[in-house]
Amino acid sequence: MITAENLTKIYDNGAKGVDHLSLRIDDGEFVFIVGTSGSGKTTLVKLLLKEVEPTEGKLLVNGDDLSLLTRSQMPYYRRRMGVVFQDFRLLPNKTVYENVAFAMQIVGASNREIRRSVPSVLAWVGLARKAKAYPNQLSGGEQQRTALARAIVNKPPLLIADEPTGNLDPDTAWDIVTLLEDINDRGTTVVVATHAKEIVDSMKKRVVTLKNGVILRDIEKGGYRDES
Amino acid sequence: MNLRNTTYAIQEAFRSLIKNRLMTIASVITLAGCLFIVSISYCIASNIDYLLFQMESLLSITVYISQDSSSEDVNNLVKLIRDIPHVSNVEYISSEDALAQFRENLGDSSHILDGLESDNPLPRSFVLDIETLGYWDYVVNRLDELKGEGIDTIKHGKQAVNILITINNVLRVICVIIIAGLGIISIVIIFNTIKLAVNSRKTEINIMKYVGATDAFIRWPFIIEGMIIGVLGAMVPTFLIHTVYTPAIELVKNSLSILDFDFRTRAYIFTILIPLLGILGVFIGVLGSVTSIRQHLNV
Repeated sequence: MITAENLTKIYDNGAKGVDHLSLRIDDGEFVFIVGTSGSGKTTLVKLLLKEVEPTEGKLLVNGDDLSLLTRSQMPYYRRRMGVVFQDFRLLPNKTVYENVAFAMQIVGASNREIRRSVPSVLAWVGLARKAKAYPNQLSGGEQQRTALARAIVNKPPLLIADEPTGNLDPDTAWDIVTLLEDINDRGTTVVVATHAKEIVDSMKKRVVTLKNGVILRDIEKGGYRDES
Repeated sequence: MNLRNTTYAIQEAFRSLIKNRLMTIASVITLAGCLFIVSISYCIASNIDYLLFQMESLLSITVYISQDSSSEDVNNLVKLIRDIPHVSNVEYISSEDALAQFRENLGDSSHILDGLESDNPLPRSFVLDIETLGYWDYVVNRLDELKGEGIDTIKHGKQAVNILITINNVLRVICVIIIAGLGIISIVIIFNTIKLAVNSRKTEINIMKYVGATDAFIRWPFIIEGMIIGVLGAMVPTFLIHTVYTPAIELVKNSLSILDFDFRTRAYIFTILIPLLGILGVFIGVLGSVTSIRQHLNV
C-alpha cells in the first residue's frame, strides 16, 4: 500500500522534515504515526498527499511512484485516498450533504449514485439529521464527521488523517477514532498522524514513532509512551 | 467537459455570484463604469469623425476658366479634369450662374449689380469635389499641370484644409488614446476586483484540490462567473447609452444648429457598441478570472 524508501525532505530554509525514512504499510493496516512537534509527522503526510516533493528517496502509494506522477495525474491519485485534516477543511458555502456529494461530483458520479450514497454515509457517521446544515452551524465533532464522510464516500483504499482529533474534546475525539476503526474494519488502510497519547495507548494498533525526521520506533500494538 | 460537469459549473457560478453578492455587485459596477466611459469615448470619437467627414464634403476647389477659352476648350478641359483620380464631382458654373449666385449672396444690396447682365465680368468656373482631404494636394498639383489648357486661376484654400487635416488627425489619436487607456485601466481594475473574489475563496480551491478535483473542474465555474460579470457589466452602459444618447445628441444639435451638421444615429452607434461592449466585457471578466485563479491551482 505505502512504501517509503530512504525518503528525505529538506525544506528551502534547511530544516529537515524527514531524514532517510524507510517505511512499509500493508493493505488493511491501521497505523498511528506519532511524535512531538517537528518530528516529521506533517511532512510525511504532505509527502503522501504530494503537497511537497521529496529531496531524495522514493515513495510508492497504491502502486503509484509519486515521483513519476504528472500534474494532470494528481487529481486521480488523490481520488484514491481519503484525507481528513485537523481543521476539517469543509467548503463553507456548502451544506453537510453538498460537502460529501462534492467528492462524488468530482469523480463524475451520477446524481442517482450521489442520492443513494450520500445519505447512507451520513447516516453511518451519525449526521443524517444535519444534512442541510452548513459547517458553521456544526460542532467540531460534527464537522470532523462530515470530513470523514467526505473522505470515505468514494470508498478509497487508503485514508490519511492528519491530527483528526486535534481540535476536539476527549469524548468527541473517541467518537472519531471509533469511526476510523470502523472504516479500517471495512478494509480501508488507515494512517493517522497524531499526538493524542491516550487514544494511541488505548487502541493497541501499530505505532510508528518519529523523532527529528527519523523512525525512532515501529511497534505492533504499541503505545505513545513507548517513545521514551 | 461533459454535460454533468457543465451543469455543475453553471450552477456553481450562479450560486457563487449570489453567495458573494457584494463582490459581484462591486465587480459589475466597476466594469460597468469603465465600459460606460469607453462607450462615451466611442460615441464622441464616432461623431467627431462623422462631423469631419461632412466638413470634408463641404470643401471644394474652384477652377476659373480663362476668358479667351472657347466652348470647345471648356469641353476639353472638363474631360481632363474628370480624368484626374479622386475627383468625385465636377460642376460647371457659367458666368450667368456666377452672377445669379452673387446676386443671391448680396441679398438686398443686389441692385448694385444691375446692368452687368450685358457685360458680365464674372469668369466661368468648375467646382470640384475631392474624395477625401488626403488627396487635396495631389489634385491641386494635377490641376496646376493643366494651367496651359485654359485654366486661369485655382482657388483651393489650402491652409484651411491643412488645419482641418491636422485637427482630424489629432482628434483621432486622442480618441484612440482615450479608448486604449481606459481599456487598460478597466482590465487592471477588474483583474484586481476578481482577484479579490478569488483570493477570498482560495481555501475553497485548496480543498477542492485535496479532494481530487481537476484544474478544469475548479476553473470552469470561475470562468462562467467572469463571463456573467462581463455580460452584466456590459449591459449597464448599453442601457445607459440607449437612454441618454438621443436626447444628448438633440441637445448638441440645438446648440450647434447654425452649422446644420448630422450626427450618428443611435442605431448606427449600437451596431458597433453592443458587440464591442459584449466582447470587451466577457474578455475582461474571463481574463480576470483565469489569471487570478491560476496561482491557487498549484497545490
